[in-house]
Amino acid sequence: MATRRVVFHYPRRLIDAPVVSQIARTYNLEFNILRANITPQSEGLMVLGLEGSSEDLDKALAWVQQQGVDVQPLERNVVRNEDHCTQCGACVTICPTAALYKDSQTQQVYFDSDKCIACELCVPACPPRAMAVKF
Amino acid sequence: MYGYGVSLQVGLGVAIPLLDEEMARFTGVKDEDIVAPIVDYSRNYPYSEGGPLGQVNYQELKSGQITVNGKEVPTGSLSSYPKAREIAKILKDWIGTGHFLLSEPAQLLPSADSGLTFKPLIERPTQEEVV
Repeated sequence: MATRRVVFHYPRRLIDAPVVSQIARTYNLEFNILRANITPQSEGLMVLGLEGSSEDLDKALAWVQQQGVDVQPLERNVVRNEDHCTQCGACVTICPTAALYKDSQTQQVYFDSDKCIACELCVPACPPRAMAVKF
Repeated sequence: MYGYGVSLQVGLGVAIPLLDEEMARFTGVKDEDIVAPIVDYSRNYPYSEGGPLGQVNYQELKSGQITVNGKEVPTGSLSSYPKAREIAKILKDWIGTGHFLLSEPAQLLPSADSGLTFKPLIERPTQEEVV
């Protein structure tokens, strides 16, 4: 079982096409709509999570693209609000990749976003709520 | 706060006047001389069961990792040294510019020989009455 988060860009002519329900049924996928912005007479955008076997996911996304919907993998970024961060260090031990780490001399907390895998564990751990996920 | 429930994160800057050698000695204590017990929060702390898993000093804690029962364990913190230094500097500047003056104490804080003790929380088991 695999989970993939994708962004669908619908052209105007496909606004009414039941793409998501179609792939859920045909390719046996669970879906979780994270954001949808579909307006009539206009292009549409949908951010969704899809769960199923890797094989089914590949086939489903290929079919969606074939229909004319643009499919992009979702980039999820964790960002730190430097003004809210109090350098308390509560996030450091919870970070699985040490993207959040402390300088052992100054005890300053640093965030190396290149190492971040967007697991989001730091988000609820941060007392002043300085960590956020941005799609 | 995660695992603690609703919490307040409060930082307080207190200027300690060093008026004699004794105070200078107490405040000059090194990280390696400040010792803390390693407490198991799953049993020790909530149920007052058993003893600490060992002791560490602050130098070890600030290094980012300690050894507990032969295992390497990462360490973190919940309070901010950078913020503490920032506040200390503000206080220092106030004192240096004469905006924060030493005064007679209004009341002394109770010290170790005050006889004050902590009252432990005695949990009463809840009983559900079946009607």
